[in-house]
Amino acid sequence: MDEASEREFAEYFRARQDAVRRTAYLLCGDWHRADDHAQSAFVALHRHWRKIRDKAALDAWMRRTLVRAVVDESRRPWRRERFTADPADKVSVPSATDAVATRHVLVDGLKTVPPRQRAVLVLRYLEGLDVAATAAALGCSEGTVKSQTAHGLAALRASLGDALDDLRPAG
Amino acid sequence: MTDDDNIAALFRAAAADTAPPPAFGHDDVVVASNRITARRTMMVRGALGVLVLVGIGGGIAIPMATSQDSATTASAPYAGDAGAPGSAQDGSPYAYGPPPAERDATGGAPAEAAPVVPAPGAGQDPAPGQGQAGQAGEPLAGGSGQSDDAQPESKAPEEQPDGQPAPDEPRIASGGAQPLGPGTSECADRQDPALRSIVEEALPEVRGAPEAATTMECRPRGERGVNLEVADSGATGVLSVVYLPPGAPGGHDPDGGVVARRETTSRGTVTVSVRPGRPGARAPFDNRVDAVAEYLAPRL
Repeated sequence: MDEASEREFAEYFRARQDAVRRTAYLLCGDWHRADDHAQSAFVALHRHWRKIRDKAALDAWMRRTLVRAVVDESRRPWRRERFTADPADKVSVPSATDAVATRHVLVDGLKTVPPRQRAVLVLRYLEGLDVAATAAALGCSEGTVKSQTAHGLAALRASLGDALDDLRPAG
Repeated sequence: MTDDDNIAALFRAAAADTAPPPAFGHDDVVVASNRITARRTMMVRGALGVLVLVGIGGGIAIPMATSQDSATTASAPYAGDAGAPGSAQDGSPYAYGPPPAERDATGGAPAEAAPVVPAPGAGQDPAPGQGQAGQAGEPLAGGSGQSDDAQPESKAPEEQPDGQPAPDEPRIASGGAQPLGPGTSECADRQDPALRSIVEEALPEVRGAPEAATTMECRPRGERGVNLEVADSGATGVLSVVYLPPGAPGGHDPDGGVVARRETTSRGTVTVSVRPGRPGARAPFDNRVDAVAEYLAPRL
């Protein structure tokens, strides 16, 4: 990669590293794994930097790469997540006024949601994508996104119970 | 505030959690990317190298195998193991020649003594384009007019046992005949094109005759042979010409045919024989075998 491209990539990296890490964190619920996924996505981006002509689509490319990495990893045998019909323990909901606790409650609740549905929720509610953009990022139909959104919210509510409605953005 | 807005705000708040410092930086990403790129480049180059090696190896091995096959087998179809016609090869699955019933049933020579098996072709009609019928009385091209001097001989050693060291190459006598080239392998050529051209000079009627089947036996280098399916005035059979270099031990004569043997100018031996395709039938060119041998002797 030539010097100009390296400079462009470095600028993009500095601008987006934090956001990508946070998205990865909500997708997997663990900062260490989030760093791994984010780094893998940036490495892939660096290797394909010259081939990506539309720099405006970089964010979409990173989102797609990141979501696929997290979902693929969740399917690996040693990382495979197991879901039960009934959540073993409902997430204990602290006071809604406790900002830090609120964040932890949501993250713990997201861990009980299947990876694909979790990705839909993160893309729609954290990234603020609409149905069409989410479908494009996940490589599925808009109908699938809608159904996965409904199922994901249902799973989140089943995990958090009424606490989801009680949670309010803190800070 | 709608439910979706509430959830979105909740997600943003969760993502705004105090994050630990990142475990990687720009340099780490670039190093990892370059390492992966270099590894993949090496893998591609390695795969290409393996393909090139396989291609070169195949390009060398296949021609070598082909040349060995062509040296140890005759170009004509395989008609069975060594031995006289009709001995024990009638059921051979490799007998592409005429039906076994048409072979000469009088033979019985051991394999070592009769390596050149005149292909059965007896009883078959002449091949199209042969044009040999009715030409039996023609004089030899460039010959001495001895076509009527046919003297059937009953014994003329012509072969040598296997495993003998290759005798000297035949010396080429001066003359217009095409010289015999050296063998290309350890085995003698059972259908030597140079010798065939000389035979065709001596007996123009056999020009274009199909090659007779021979055994797959590897004869010592220096020996030359020609085996042709010929027809002469309705008589069909196999014409065999074998050149033995000096010092090469001779073998048994094929049974049931006419044989003529001459010493060549290179002190080797040339044996010309014709065998009828059917027991008791007349061998083609039986009255010209001697003349052919006379013609060949000074040219080999």
